[in-house]
Amino acid sequence: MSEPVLDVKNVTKTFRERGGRRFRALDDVSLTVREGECVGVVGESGCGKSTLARIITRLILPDSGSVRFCGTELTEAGGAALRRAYRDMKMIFQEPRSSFDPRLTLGVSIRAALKPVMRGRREQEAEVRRLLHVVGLEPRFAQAYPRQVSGGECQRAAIARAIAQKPRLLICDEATSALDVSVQAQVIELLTAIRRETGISYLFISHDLALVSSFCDRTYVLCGGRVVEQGPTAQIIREPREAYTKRLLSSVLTI
Amino acid sequence: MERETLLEVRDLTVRYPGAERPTLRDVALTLHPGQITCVIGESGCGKSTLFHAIMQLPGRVEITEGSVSFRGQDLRDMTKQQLRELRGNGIGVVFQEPGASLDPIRRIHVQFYEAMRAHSRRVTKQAAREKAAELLRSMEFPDPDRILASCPAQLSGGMNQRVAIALAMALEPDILLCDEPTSALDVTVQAQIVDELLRLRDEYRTCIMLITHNMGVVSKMADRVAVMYGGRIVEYGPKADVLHHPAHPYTRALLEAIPTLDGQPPRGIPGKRPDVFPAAGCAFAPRCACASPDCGTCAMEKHLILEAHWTLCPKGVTDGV
Repeated sequence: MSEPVLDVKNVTKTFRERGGRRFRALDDVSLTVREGECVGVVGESGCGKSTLARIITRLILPDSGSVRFCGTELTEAGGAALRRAYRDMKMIFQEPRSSFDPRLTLGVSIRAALKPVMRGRREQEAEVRRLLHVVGLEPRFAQAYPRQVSGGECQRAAIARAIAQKPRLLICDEATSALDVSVQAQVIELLTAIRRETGISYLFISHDLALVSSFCDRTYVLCGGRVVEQGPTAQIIREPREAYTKRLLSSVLTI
Repeated sequence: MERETLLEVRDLTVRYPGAERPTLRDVALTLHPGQITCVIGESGCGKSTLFHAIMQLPGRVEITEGSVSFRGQDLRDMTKQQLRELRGNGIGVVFQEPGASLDPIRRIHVQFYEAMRAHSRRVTKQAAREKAAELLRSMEFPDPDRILASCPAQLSGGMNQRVAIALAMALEPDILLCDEPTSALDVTVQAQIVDELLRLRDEYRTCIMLITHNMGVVSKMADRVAVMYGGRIVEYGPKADVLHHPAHPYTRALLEAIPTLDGQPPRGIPGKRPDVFPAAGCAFAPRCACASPDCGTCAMEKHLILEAHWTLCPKGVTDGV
């Protein structure tokens, strides 16, 4: 089998709290995402989900362990190698508005993401229109400012910008948590369609097990900085082995 | 037997100052003691406006038609003093942000004392503290004294939300209005808050009105469900009827958009909600799978399906049940 797109091995991260105490945010975490796969990471606030995302995107470095992305060791990469990695790995966040510059139109922000891979302003603008079409937004949204559009529309624009450089991995950190259920379903449908067409891989970080259950092929359950359970999503939902997973599942309120 | 009516919202039409069209139209609701009513719908459907209208926050909304009355008295006929009494003693409020109603750097026992003192001059610090400890114990805090001596900034979001509920309950209101009380919390904490609210209802016969878009919470808690879209209640009825035999196309679409544990992908509702609600006809028609040309003009009347279960959509009656 070919090498996974993302291979996180034995990552540990400790933060120093005020007063000198040490807080272990991640403890020996390993995780893989293969080509075209959608992998879920679930857990409660404070379980280390976001620390993991920040280590994978190399916003912070782990104390020990390795993060290999498309054959590059990210914990040691620098300069050109890191820039190449960032082209292939994109991220969307819970608050789409805060990831856009409020002073720029959505079109300008998306075009900025195209500049490294495409020359010529006219070409770029045509590509912005195509990307907006892909995410289901009309061309007029290129002229809109982030504050003028709804949360769902802004998240669509964030997805358009994220896929502009044709990345191989998209990290979604609670990307639909701030949206209404019906808008959330629209965004999930969009991510599913993009995956079908481009074969992109997703790392889907969420606290919503019900959402992960339909969207992710495999799931990791994170608790207190450790992976307590992993496996095919359907199996984890149907036959959870760990007490923590069972507790998490039993607190999902369903109709 | 006629049950006691706590709050009656009658044909309420509400407009924000300066707005051309009303944000709420013909909303009618009746709340009884010990009953839990859930109001569901997307953001922008008018849920929070209804909240503002009930609380009569000054300068916020303008009631153009209809009325809100508490124990038979119209809120507009109340004096400032009576309204002050109403907010707190009559109606307690819990907001979405756990910290929103708490001062982050003031010890919790002081906040209980101040809230109770604002409504009754006779309250002593000792009495306030005892009442607070009792409420916190009923909210399953094992060590209420430690919590009372802490500041909200030292507690987690879930703990603060339980403190906020206890604080709203300190004045023993008849009605507890909760605006998305669980949305900002983790699922495990969410389940806990739901249990606490149910226990309060059982213990104090508090009437709870819950605004939420979490259908799981609705399913666990509600007696009655009101579905809102475009400023109107489009469907109303007992929980089991609305969730299991939804009659309005919007309710059905909303239920299909909810992710479930069985692995079925959620289905989005095509289109987006209107920014301005239409002057006539059904606001949902442009997104509705079973809309016909006359939906844009038809009169918005209640169509009864079963006793106490009605919908605004005439089609819901014929092919819904």
